[in-house]
Amino acid sequence: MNKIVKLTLFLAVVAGLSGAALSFVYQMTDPIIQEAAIASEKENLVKIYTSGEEFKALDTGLADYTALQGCYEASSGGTVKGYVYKCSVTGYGGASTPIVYLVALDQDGTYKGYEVIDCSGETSGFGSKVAEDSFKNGIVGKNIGDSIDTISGATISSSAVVDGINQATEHYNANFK
Amino acid sequence: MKKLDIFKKGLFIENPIFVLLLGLCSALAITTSLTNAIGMGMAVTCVLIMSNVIISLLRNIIPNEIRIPVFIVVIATLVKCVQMLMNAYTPALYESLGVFIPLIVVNCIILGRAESFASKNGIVDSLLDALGMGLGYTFAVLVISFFRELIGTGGLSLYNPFDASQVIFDVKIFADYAVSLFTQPAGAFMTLGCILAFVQFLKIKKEKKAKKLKEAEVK
Amino acid sequence: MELVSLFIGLTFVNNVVLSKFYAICPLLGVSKKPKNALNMGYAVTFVIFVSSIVTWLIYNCILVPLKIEYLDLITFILVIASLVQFVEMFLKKTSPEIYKSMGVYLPLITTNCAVLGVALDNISAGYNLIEAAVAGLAVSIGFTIVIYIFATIRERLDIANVPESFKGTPIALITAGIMACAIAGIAGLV
Repeated sequence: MNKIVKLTLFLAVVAGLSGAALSFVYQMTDPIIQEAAIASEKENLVKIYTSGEEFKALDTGLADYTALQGCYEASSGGTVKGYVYKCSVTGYGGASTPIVYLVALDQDGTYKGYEVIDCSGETSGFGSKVAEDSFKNGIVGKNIGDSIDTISGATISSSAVVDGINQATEHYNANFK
Repeated sequence: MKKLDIFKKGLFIENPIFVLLLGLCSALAITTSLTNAIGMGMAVTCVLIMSNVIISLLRNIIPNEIRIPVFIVVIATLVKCVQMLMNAYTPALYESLGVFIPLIVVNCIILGRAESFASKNGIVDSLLDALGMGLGYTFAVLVISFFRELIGTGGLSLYNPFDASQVIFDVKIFADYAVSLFTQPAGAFMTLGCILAFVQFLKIKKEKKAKKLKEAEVK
Repeated sequence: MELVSLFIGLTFVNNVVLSKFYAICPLLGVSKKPKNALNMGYAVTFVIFVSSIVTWLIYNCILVPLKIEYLDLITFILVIASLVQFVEMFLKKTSPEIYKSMGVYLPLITTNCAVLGVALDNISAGYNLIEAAVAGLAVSIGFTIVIYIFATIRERLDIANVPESFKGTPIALITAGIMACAIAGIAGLV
């Protein structure tokens, strides 16, 4: 019996030490990982807010919205200009290759920008139209909350995108309006 | 001389991939480009060196009955640390190696060396053994990825693992005649199959030579 | 319907052995006799199925609420190792015959990439519990099918006239390559 206790204790000590080592490395690397994630996003964010705004990642209540992956506050000299949402929705390509895009809701009450990051799962020439300018022009400049037209021939892809934008709008109205 | 032998053994005579056939999963999966192969080679070598040293240090305190669980815990901790460090400092590489970084835990090379070498030998020997085996693994994945990238994309490229935008070299030799099958799983199996056949060919040749010499001596 | 396509997708189209290279070691090591290959397949199926459920529960019910996700790897591998130990003890007690015939392969399951790989994939794909269980089942059935087919092919290869340098593992790997081509042919199915 004594032996079992000894072995268990030994294993527990090893496990404890490894847990301590892991949490140390985690604390060291986590800030860098977070920063890198924002940096890679920033490449796309500056396409929407072009005049050198600062971005800050927020995560208030995003978990309640299935399509919303992230939210970035754009501000310039301390005044908030708008909010950029990163959305991921299931289009024609299935859940494994979602459509990922950014949509910006400006404080002036309009949709400020729309940038597709990845729609590689959509059928080229049909679903891929969600990344084209004609669809983008149907979003950008509209008042927040106005209905957005889907694309005929790419109904599944475009209505998935519109659904994501509606979720972003809902979140915006609930938190930032 | 003996120390050198321990180091050299892992590189060629007991090369973990070409001879011992250990850790093939990752060796097949990540060898689509030279950059990936170097990154994976470095990660495996780091984990191998640290696990061998730690286990060799602890070899006299670890109770024999629970040595395997203890080895696994040590290895899993080291792998997770490497994974987090790679995520922080080499994000592009982390992305492209994906699940195969955590899967280093179940890479037979590491547990195998811990069990068969580090738990029986001193620190310096274990360190040399790990270095030899790690470099042997790196050498092997580099050879496989050389053929796969060259035939599969028609060129060779190498990026700085710490900064994906920094190109060390990127040449296209026969891009129009690339056989993209070789970047796919099927090509991985076939490339490794052919390389192993070559290794076997060398072995058979050597044996025949030795046999001939022996016969000559008898006569 | 989505579960069905997930199942077929993971069993055939994205077969873990031939498209993700999980579990190559047992594929080359154990698959010399079809019967052994099948026994190995059954044991792996059980371990993967249970471990994918248990690891999912541990991750989402313990690690996430406590915000210690970075302990995932170490807990998963311990769960798998103890599960394998449990299967070993269970078989030893209940059916010594089966235990005898596959005793050697059982400890090997711990270092089978497929078990840990599926557990990690389930988390990173964001599956729910049912999807994770289906994924575990699909992957292990896919593994069993491939390892069985492979074993029967290797039986024929033993008596075939293969060039000396290619005998053994090299020709086995090339066979696996051809099988991977066949699997790639049904890529558009799901």
